[in-house]
Amino acid sequence: MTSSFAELSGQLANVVEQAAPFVVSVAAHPRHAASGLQWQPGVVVTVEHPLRQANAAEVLLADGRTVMGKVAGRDATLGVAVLRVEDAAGAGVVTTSAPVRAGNLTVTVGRGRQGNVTASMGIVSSVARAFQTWQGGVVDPLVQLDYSLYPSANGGAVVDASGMVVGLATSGFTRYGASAIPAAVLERVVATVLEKGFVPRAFLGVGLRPVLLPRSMAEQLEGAPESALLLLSVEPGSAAARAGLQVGDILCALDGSPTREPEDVQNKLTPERIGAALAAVVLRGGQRLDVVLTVGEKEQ
Amino acid sequence: MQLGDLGERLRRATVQVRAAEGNGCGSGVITGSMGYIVTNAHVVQGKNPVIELWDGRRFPGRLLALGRRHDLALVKVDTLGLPALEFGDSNALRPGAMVLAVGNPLGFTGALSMGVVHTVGPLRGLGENRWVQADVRLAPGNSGGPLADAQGRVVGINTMIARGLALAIPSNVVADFVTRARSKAA
Repeated sequence: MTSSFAELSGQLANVVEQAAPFVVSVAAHPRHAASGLQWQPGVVVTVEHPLRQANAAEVLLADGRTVMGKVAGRDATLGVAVLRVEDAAGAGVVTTSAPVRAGNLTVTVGRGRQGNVTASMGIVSSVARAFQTWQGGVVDPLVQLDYSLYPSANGGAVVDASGMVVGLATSGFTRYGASAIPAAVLERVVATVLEKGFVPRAFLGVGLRPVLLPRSMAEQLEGAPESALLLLSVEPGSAAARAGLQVGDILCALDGSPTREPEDVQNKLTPERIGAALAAVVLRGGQRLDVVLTVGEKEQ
Repeated sequence: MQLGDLGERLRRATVQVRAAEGNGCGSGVITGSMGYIVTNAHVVQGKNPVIELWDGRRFPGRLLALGRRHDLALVKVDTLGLPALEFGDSNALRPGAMVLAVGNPLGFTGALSMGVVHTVGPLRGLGENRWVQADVRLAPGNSGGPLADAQGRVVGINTMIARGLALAIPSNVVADFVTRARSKAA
């Protein structure tokens, strides 16, 4: 008996089978196994959380072999770790950068501790532009899923209806459901980690909190903003200290845009901006002050 | 076959199993045309249950066999020609394949839920037994009911929920139990 429903079922299982050879199990923690993606020959990408205390983990490959993976580096802002697995010489996963839309069907393929392939299915619940993680990482776009992951499927492959890998499954970003870190973001993380051993983070060295501006102060500024950011701390030797910023200064604009929330500053601090000069507008003692900040790099 | 038709076929072959005493109510699957019904041992609680069909008809059931190792029970009602389901091959299940669960969760009759096979195998902490682990929403009352594949074949008997996953006894284990229980009963 053939039927459209039976065909759909068969196609879904085919999609899982197509992705499974690239999905490994990472025994990162005595209790929690995660999944991982064989990204390129000898390199596995996985979620960082279970590896926080470890520099190496056993990796169970799709062909049944258990090999050692060494942590090559991590991007803590995205919760991603990159492992070097020399014995995993097989080809890397086939990814797609085709746009994903809310409502698209996705399957998350993981691998359990015993080597068994696992699958969950659902739809894309939203595609969020330039999502910022609470550690300051930017995922663009963040593909949110309407289903949650079983713990071992964290780090598995989020696969579209054609069997192509959209991204890495993680439940680290949102309280409910799960998300996919897109392949393009992973590509960048892997390239940086393999080159440097870490992902550099831009850093100014200031502690900030939003404050309301009195009208008299606001009127000195473009757009007369109602609020800005008070400097609560300035780290010695940091970019902010070198530019002469002091505790008590109020940061009102950075790189031409108003700074009302700490996120407005964080958004400017992408890794590409390390070493770049950013114009800042500051109020000190009620007087406007224009300074130039040279973006620093956070020490690892 | 359309999903709705498939669901209807499954619902008509799924029964409510009421333990003779107490309020316990689970589900069961009609197998074959001779009035045999397979369910969980924990649903019948060792007694002859009352069987209620999809259309509301009730029959006294006779408990023929208990398979405690796998939590299975075989019950018979003295009525011929009830709508029955076939068993599929649980060893051939693939992760990602679609499955349907029918049962009587939380007092609903013939409720249907859909999902995919998550994996097939043992679950940590639950011994050696193999389970069809499905990403399907179950509730108390689904116990003993069918987990069916996209062709409407029973691939498991829904038995419990663990960490949000539906756990079903693989149909190959169930079919084996039914064959042995029937040959003993005959």
